[in-house]
Amino acid sequence: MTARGLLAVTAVTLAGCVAVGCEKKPQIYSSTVELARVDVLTRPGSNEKTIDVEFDYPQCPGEQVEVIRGDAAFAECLLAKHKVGDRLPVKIRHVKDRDGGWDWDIIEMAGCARPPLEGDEASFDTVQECEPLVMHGMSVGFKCRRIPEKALLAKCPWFARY
Amino acid sequence: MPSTAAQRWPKSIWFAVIAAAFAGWLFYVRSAHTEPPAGGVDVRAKAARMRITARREAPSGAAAATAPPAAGVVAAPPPSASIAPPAPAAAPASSAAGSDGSLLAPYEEPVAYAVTPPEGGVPVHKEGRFRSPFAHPKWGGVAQTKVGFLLANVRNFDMQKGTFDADFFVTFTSDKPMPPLDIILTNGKADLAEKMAETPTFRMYRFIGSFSSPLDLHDYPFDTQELVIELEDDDNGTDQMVLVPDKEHTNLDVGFNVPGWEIAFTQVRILNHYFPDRFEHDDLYYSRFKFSLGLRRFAASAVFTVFMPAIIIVLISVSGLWLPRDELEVRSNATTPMLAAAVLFHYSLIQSLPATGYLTRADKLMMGVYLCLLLHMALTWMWFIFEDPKWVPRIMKFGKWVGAPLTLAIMAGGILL
Repeated sequence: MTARGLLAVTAVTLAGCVAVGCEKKPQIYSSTVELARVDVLTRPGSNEKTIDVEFDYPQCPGEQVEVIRGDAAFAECLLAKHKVGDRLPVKIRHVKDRDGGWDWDIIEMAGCARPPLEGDEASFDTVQECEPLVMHGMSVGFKCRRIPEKALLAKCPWFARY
Repeated sequence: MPSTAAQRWPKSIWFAVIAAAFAGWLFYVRSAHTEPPAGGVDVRAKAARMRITARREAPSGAAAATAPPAAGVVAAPPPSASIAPPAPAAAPASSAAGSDGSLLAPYEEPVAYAVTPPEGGVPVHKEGRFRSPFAHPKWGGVAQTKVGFLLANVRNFDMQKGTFDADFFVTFTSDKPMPPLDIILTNGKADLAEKMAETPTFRMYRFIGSFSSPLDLHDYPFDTQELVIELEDDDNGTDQMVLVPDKEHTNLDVGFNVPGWEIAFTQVRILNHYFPDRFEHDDLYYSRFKFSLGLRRFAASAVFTVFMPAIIIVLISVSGLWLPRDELEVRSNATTPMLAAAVLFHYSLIQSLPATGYLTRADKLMMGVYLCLLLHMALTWMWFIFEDPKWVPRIMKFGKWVGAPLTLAIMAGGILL
């Protein structure tokens, strides 16, 4: 093949990749979380309720704190069987978000379905890896990296944001 | 058959018009991406300022003179904000307890019992480690004070000035009673300074203020900036209170984000701040809390807004090297207007940044672009220097087989160095 031909094939392949979307597809992962806090939120004079569940990922290096909010069905399902301190299996969906990055949603916890909602501002997470800040041999503070390192992503790939 | 001037003319005009349009588009796009100047309407901060003003104006005349310290809100004069209960200068001791409902015990001002030497001058303390009149040897032990910090918001980050507005909560939790605090923002000024809790071993404040932080633009546009917020107690030295970072209670608020930037890290550092001598025996250290928020610019944005236009400018210019001697005007028009495009593009890039004493990565890239354009112009002008027809094909080949790879090498250097 001539140089021009090779160039043309490369250009067409690249254009095709861009057009079709030569990128990672959404993935479902499984992991284990440890419950740290469970709060049931009710509205006075109403049977409506939601649940806030705070947990961390004991199998992942670093520090992860996540709070998810779920509906009444999720609350009833979870509270019927589990309490703070329990380690529960979860299913995590890793999807492209509207900002061009990636995000993850807990879609199932201990068999209890939790359909994620678009624009859910009550759920949040903090994923960081901290180390002490040492100057002149003395610890003077700490630094927490918020961009996941390779070691974390190797074990818990759903924390990849970009 | 060689083409006539009449045949060539429309082509060159067409090329020049496209090049000029591209240059104009580049300038427009860069201008549109330039961040708006700081000082836009910030409703929350404005409301806070209005609140301060209202409280300042509320007491008047005798009522103002006898009014207790503003319950929770004290407006601070620039450049720093202060939240201490006002200490009467002449009184030997200020009692914060009682009248205003504060839970603090009476506090003796250390300057009041410092001893003035017989020859006059600065009063000193004979006891304790420090001679400074602001040291407090009678205080009875250092309060190890954990500092918690929650950053709620960062707005109006201005790259040109290195300034930003921040809204945060700070807590002080100690193992023994703390002295009255006079918290100042050493690298900013407060629009709102609200005392939310005050007990002997726990204090909580909320601040909204403007801060300045030096920028590091070496890696621009792949830069990570550090926004720093520094706090210091203006009155109490390390003989009364030592600050300790509280990692468990240092956080960013739910949903915290800074548009255009990725959160890279948070960092807390405690410094023992020593002032160069302001007076004789100025030997007291002060504990300073320094919170840093690391922000990394989105790489995709950097590539599309800085690297892509520069590379397209060079690609258009290098395409002219394939045009023969007969198309000299068209070949010239592939390069010269690109120089104008490059200058306009570079100008719009540096408009959004402060002057630096070093080259940023974007500057190095643009140097590569200028070098490439110079090379392409030189390869065209060679035909004017070597007019012998035997040189025509040689220069053409030289341009294609040496000029193009050299362009690639220069641009790679500009991007990678």
